[in-house]
Amino acid sequence: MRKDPIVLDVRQLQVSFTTPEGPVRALAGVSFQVGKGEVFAIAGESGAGKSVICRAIVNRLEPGASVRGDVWFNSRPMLDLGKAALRDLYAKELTVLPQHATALNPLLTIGEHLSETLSAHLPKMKAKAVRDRSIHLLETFGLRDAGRIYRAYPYQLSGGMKQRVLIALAYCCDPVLVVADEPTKALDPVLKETMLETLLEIKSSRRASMVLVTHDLTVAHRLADHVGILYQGRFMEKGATRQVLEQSVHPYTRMLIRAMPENRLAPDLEDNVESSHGHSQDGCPFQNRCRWGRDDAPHPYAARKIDDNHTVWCINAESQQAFQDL
Amino acid sequence: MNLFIKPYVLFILLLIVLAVGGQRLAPNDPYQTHIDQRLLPPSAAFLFGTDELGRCMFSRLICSVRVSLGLAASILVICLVTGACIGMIAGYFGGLVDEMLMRVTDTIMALPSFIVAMVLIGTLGAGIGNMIFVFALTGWTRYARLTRSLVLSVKNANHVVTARLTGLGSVYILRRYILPAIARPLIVLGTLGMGMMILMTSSMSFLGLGITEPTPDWGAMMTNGTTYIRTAAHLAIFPGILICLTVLSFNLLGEALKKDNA
Repeated sequence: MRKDPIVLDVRQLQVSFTTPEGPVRALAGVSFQVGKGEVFAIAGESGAGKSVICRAIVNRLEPGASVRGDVWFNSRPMLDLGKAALRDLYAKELTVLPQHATALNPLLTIGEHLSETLSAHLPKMKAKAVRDRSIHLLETFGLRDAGRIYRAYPYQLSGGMKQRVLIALAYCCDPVLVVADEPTKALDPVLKETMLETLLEIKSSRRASMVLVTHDLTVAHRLADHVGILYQGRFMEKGATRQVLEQSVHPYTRMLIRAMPENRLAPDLEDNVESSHGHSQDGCPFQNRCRWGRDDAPHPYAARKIDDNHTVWCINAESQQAFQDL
Repeated sequence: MNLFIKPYVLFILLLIVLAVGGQRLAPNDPYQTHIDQRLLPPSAAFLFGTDELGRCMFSRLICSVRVSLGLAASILVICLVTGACIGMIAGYFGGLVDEMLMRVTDTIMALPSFIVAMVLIGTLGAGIGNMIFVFALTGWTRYARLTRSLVLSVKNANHVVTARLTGLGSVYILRRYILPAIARPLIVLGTLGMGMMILMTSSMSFLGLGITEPTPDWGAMMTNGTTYIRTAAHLAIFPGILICLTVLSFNLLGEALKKDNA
């Protein structure tokens, strides 16, 4: 069981959006906990609700969204906090690691980016100290020649350098929790590898927790302590990374693993119908793509605990496990 | 593109020099009357001739640059600043604030601004201060509208969203993230608006509701000239040419900036 204190506790989070075609349920009751220093990965296909979880954690959902459930961050109810309280929290305790280098303002130098964030949260810090700390931060995150980069504009840096600057910005005030929405999306393999190594290094050197959203199971496998597989706003399988990804029970998790390029196997096209929202409100959302779900009776969405660190939401979990053991 | 070799830019620079230099650059005293030398045609002594009181037209035109251009420029600056502030607040905060500010803007835009200005000047009396107030009252709306739409297009840009998520304040974000990104189109519209402002203020003075004698002003000088249009046409022609060239130059500069911007 967990020994670390809980940093983030998401309980029965439900989010739905109102559209002209009727309400769309993006999250249908998602719960997870992230301990101190722990990396929790949320994996799933497009439209599963991964980014909505991110925005809900930082309380930046669209005004039209209706939210139920709780998000507790450091024993504060994130969803009930006012704007001023949130602003105080951002960067200092809770940061977002943006997925793209366009998150840097093209009209400000790297130094201005770092020092504006630092001085917004540490107003008593002197300009010289802010500068020294910014340059030190850049060096810490693997940018050689930090003095020059401090004066440079984003367009003067390469993609990899910008990624490092973004990491430096996210970690500049020693946050408790970092929310990373697809940090390795749209990076070439070399950059992705260095990004992963940097993140691994940070994980071992700092005690910051992380919610990592990704559709890349390799990233989740290497970085995360716990993984949740999300499908249509619900967890299908959740638990310790090794158990979920190496001894997966749920047919959806297995399908995702089979679909990885490393396994050189395309998913069955037949199984791979577009997921449609609004279907089965309470039953298993995966039934119509599942090879165990071809019968007429609707399957309920119910948790099966495999052990303390591994839960799967599938009524065929026991037989699946038996099948796997053969 | 090097703007400083374009004739219209050189002309605007010349106007600025004249506005700053004012009376010191004039060959004769613009207020000195020569009753024996009335309505003279252009000559070596009086380059653009003299008016009905024998005052040097050339000197009066030079002095009028400061008045006319200064008046138009100050109204423009007030309009730009007010419009940009209101537009940024409306666009950035949205919701009820946006709704209220934009309905006020719509209401003012629906009024015929020149007629409103005439009525107000008629009530408040002519004068530079009243002119600025009256034109600024209705002039800011177009800048507010443009600013609001520009803000809407940049406020959800990735870097602005990230700035909000690093806990930066709204005023700071507006100043450092939004304003620099939307400044160029605003400057273009402002330059194009300068020509219009000059025409509006000159028209007001032409109608006798703006700047009045003896202060030299383009519009007032033209009114004056119309009386003598059959005998001494230069009285109306020279201020007319100056207004034309100035408005043309500002419009050309605005167009050039617009193309440069795109």
